[in-house]
Amino acid sequence: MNAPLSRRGFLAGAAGVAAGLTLAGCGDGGPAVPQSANAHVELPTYIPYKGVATSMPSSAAGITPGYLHYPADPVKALPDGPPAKGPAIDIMTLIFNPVPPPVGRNTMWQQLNRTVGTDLDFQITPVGDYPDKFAVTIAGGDLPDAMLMLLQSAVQRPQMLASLFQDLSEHLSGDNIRDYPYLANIPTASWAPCVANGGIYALPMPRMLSGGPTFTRLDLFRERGLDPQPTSWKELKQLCKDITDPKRNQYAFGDPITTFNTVMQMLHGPNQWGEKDGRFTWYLETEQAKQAMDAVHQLTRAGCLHPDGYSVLGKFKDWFGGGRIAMNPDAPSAWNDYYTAYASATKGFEIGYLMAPGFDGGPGTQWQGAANYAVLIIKKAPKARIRQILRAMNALAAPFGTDAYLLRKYGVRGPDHTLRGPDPVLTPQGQAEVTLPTIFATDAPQVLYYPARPEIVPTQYEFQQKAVPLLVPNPAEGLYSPTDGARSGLLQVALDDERKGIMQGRTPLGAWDGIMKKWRRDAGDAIRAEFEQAWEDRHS
Amino acid sequence: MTTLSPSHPVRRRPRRSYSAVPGETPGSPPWRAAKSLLLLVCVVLVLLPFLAILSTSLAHPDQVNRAGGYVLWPDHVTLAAYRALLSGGLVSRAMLVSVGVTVVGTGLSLGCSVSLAYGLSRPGSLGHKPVLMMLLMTMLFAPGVIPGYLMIKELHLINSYWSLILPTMINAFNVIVLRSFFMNIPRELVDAARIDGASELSILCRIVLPLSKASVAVIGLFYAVTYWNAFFNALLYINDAAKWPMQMVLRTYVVNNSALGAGQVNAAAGAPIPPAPSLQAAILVLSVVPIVLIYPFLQRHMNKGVMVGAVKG
Amino acid sequence: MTTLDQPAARPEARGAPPEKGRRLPRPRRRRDRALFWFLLPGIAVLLLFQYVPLLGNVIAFQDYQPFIGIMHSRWSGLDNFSVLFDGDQQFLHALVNTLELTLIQVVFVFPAPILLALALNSLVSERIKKWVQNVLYLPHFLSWVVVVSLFQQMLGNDGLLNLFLRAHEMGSWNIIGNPDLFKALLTSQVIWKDTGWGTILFLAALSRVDNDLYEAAAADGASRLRQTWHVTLPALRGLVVLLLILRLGDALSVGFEQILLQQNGVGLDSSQVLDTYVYNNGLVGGQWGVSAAVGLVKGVVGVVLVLGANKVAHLFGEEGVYRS
Repeated sequence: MNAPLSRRGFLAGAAGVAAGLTLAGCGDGGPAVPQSANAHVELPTYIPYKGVATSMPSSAAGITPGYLHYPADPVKALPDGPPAKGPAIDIMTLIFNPVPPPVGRNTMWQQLNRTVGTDLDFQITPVGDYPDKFAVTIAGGDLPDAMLMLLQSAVQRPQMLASLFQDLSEHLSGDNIRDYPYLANIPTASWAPCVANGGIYALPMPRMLSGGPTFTRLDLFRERGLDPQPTSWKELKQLCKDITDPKRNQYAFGDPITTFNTVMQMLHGPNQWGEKDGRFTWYLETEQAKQAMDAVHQLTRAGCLHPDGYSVLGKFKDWFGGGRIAMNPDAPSAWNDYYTAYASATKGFEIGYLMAPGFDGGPGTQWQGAANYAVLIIKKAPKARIRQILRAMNALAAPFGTDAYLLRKYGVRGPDHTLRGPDPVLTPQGQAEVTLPTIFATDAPQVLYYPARPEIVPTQYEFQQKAVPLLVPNPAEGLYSPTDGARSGLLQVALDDERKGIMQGRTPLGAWDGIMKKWRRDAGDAIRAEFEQAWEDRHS
Repeated sequence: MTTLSPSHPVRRRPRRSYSAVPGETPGSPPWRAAKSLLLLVCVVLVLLPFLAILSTSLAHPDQVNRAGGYVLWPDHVTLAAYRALLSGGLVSRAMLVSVGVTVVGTGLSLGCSVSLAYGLSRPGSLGHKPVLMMLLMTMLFAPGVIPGYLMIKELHLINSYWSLILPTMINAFNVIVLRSFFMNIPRELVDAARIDGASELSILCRIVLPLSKASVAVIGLFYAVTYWNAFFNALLYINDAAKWPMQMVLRTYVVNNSALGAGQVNAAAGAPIPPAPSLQAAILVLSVVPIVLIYPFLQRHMNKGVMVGAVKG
Repeated sequence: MTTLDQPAARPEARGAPPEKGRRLPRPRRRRDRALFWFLLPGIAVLLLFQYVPLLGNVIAFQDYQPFIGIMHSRWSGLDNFSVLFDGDQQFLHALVNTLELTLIQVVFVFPAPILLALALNSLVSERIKKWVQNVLYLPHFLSWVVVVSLFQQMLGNDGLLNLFLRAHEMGSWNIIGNPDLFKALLTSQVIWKDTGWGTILFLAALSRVDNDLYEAAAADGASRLRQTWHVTLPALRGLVVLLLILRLGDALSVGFEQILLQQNGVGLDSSQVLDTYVYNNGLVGGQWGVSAAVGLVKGVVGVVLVLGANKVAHLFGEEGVYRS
């Protein structure tokens, strides 16, 4: 049965692969456009959406707005009917959650397709496997209409974009973006990393600029009568010792790396890269880095770090939620998730935040978060098709307060959510269906909103107000360094190991200078030079 | 577990003289006791973690969260995790896909492998050595991920279930092991059949296969388990999540939140919370149970192997 | 199953008349020719899905970029191999660790299923035997992610064992994340996961041993140990040699996923193996050429080891994988 099939298949296949190996080729990578052209790209005009009034407004500096409740009468986002009628759109993207039910059994997805006007075919890959899937898809040459690109791992990014993907400048630059009002509502900071080859090549997936705080389990601190806002390293260290209680299996911190980052922010250390007069310094080669490693080492020696903190990965959230650790630096979006996942298990569960104080007193700093999770790139296509896709993505970026936003995040009223006052409460079916990763195609700017417990939103907003004035940006964000793309991953593994070795006490602190010297020689200086060049090009 | 008590084998002793099962005569009581104890320890060491997985899948999420992971015994049994998994339709669909791919794949693989192993079972036959070498080399050199993908794409098998079967249809290890079992069949039997004028096909079907039930069953099991456990081809070749096999679905529950998943992404960029450990445990149970059920069924063929006159080393 | 073979086998069955009564070498050769038809489906599958894609390994000599394709990527000579040969300290650590682990596993992991199979085989009660087998092969179905997290939760500093020790004032025992115990930990995990599974093959081989042999040996007054030595083990010898040779072909690959998941906290010096080194150095940065290059080198080493081991097996009168 299979033998004839295979023989026939073999002939077809042998010929096919010969063709396929060539077919994937698209010339020699397209014309190389000097990066200096990027300085002249006109970014989309920022036209903020003025829909819902709130006492916790956004700010130009990057404060994320907060809302206690959803508007009782959501604005119709697409008053003229489905905007993107036409052929189906394939979107290749990733997911952190379990995948949602397929479209045939997914009310929310069906309704989304109806409101957009076409079939959005999400091709979903688990997040850890995405780089593999991305590479074979590119190599195969049979691209989906739109696909997510991780900024940190795309090798030869500009050449790849030029040869396979659409330059969207004529649709999005400057005032052209007015055709897509919800995309225009995305702040400029999120557009900057979408620039390559002198054009706009991608759509943003905007995230909060504030970065995340060191979350604290207020209930645990309160239980011991401790004040969870130390004002210096000395006080923080004492606080860590006071909250640690091995008998109760309770420790201060879990993840040594994020703890290190917290101390770096206390020391006013650079956020990945520091820039001064166009000269770049990497955060790990600074004096602050050594000081921070030493500080974490002290915490480790004092037994304030979870004893499995160095050997176990991917458990920190669970430890924090379960009270094994009292502090955990995390992304800002984790705030709501902690309550959703863990609050019901512990009576009095309450989360606060700790602003990194200055190491020797005074204010500390706050590392700015990445303006995008990743970006969405679109396959080369005729103008009309590109417009259709952009209109669909515009619909996926409809902001808070609209009916389209409600549909994306909370599904269809009835099967997916019920109303409590004006606020949606997800049903079990809804919880499964809304994991459809529209958030990893594009999205509206994020907001602070948690209908299950509106009372936490003011606290979140308070953190925004405190954090944003202290933000330290990463000057390399959105810049492209080929060496960094190709080599930073490998360097990171080895360096993280050494860094952990020092913090754990396996390696003496004195070894770090030599390690950094090797890093500079291996790739660091090349990466630095490329970033400096790219920075100069961008700012000339 | 009480059946494992050392005294038990003794009671069964009379049966073994007419059992067709090969085995050595039992040793002295202390020896037997030691052996039983050792096996008992092994069984407990294996069962304990499985008990933890099962308990976690049945426990209330709050208990699981307090424990910070697996629990050894659920305070209250709840099927909520299973209900949540099976309600979306994705998991039951994935189960069907996995069963289908495993059944069809194992059938095809066994057919191809038996044929290949039999064809290689007599040194000196036409093409014997080059084909054997060719087979061996596939164990040592792996085709790259990208060329494999291009092949599947050129055959228009992207998004087709065949892409989950054809690339892994022949496993050199299995064929070589099967071949060595075939070669152990006494030559005289084969020669006698040939003298009677039997064709190769009828020798294979009437002599070799019946005498190799146990080994064919084992190799079949190996193939079945490989098909069942495979996810990488599905990851590369199946774009539509509705067509995913069980292992891919499992992956989104378990692996995404592990070091493997987290290592490659910017952790600060706002990763949603992992699903509750009870969900992870429940999907683990669902993904393990069907394939585990095969073995007891096959054991019938394995343990009552057909007697062969003399077996050479 | 059998229908698969029919189209291939039938022409032969009709074509060559059976030769009766004569067993000369030459007609037998011609006879064996018929076996070639049995190889065809397998050859087709191997060529199509193994050998044609194998050609893609030319990217080992390229600065391969997926978006450019194999035909147009820049040729880079042996650049991709430099990761193996530039004498990097980390690489040497990885190589040494790999070889050590392979050795440890051949010594401790490889015999484990054989011993277990012998123990099971000597169980008298068929029911208990089945029961034990059914339990012991379960862990094979757990992925490494799950196995690792189970071990961490049982043996971690915060795990069940240490909680128990601490509760009873017996101190604690740092197992997970202890560089000195890392290889022992890996080995015990492999034993836990795959020993039961590994017995299946051996039990199948033992099922063919004639019961009369045992009874004859017992009648001759052979002790249990002698029965094992003279009846059971010889029945397994060919298979054991075969598996050992095939295992050697994989000498340079040890537990990639298992190790990657647990490298944290013990330091790369004691935990890096060849596969993780390549992964950390190449794949994280999307360097496909490097991984192809390393795959080629590993393959060549595997060929040398397998062929060499096969020769050695012949010297001891074993069949090995093949006979020349």
